[in-house]
Amino acid sequence: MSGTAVYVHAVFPAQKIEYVFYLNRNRPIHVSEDCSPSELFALLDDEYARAILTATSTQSMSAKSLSEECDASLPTVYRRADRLIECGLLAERTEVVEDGHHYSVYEAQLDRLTVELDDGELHVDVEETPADDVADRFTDMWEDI
Amino acid sequence: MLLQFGVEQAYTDYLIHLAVTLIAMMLALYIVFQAFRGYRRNDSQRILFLAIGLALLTLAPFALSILGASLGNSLGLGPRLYTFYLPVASRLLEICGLGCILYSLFIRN
Repeated sequence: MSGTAVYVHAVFPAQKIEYVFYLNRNRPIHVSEDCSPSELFALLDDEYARAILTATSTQSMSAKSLSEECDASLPTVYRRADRLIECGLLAERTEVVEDGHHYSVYEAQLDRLTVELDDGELHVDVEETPADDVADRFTDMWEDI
Repeated sequence: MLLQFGVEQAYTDYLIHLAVTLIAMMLALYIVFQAFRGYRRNDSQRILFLAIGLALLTLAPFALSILGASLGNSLGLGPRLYTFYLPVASRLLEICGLGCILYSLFIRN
């Protein structure tokens, strides 16, 4: 996933991105979820955010195990995870344990990020991977309606 | 001889009815169960109402039809049970189920 961020910056050097955003101030841009392209790029520029994405891409992980895996404090993990969820790159699920307790786990949603420059408009599109669990896929499907 | 044939026929009819209803109920139960797990895991009100709606739409009428077939005679309501009470009760449950699904479509998270 960290490769995605490198790709974005290589294709769009800083000054070009500024130019494009300026152009787009008065135009509608297609942005996934409730997240602006600048927020998305800033988020992917963050090493902890990328570490959370790569760690949760193979298996869902709790905030505690993420904080160990990414060598980040628990508040840092929560802050990054919240921003990643807002941008639709990460999903939060509740895992229910036998004794009735439940805790949150995170799962990467990002499959591919495409940035397209088309007729003076910048399109940023987040393609999501389908969830592993059938119940999660069902929920995502129904919520997308 | 003719009477005995009629009783046997009714018995196999009942068994076939029970078998297909149980198969349908198992499939419905699996789908409702996945929707309910989706609610537990994602804390989503929308999938919860879909689960309730699907349960009312499928499980409840199936259960009612099995109950009607097995307890029908002992209730003493006569043929009106099959021509009126059961179909109307099923339909009312289906209306509640469809209402839940409709409500789920209009919830904004």
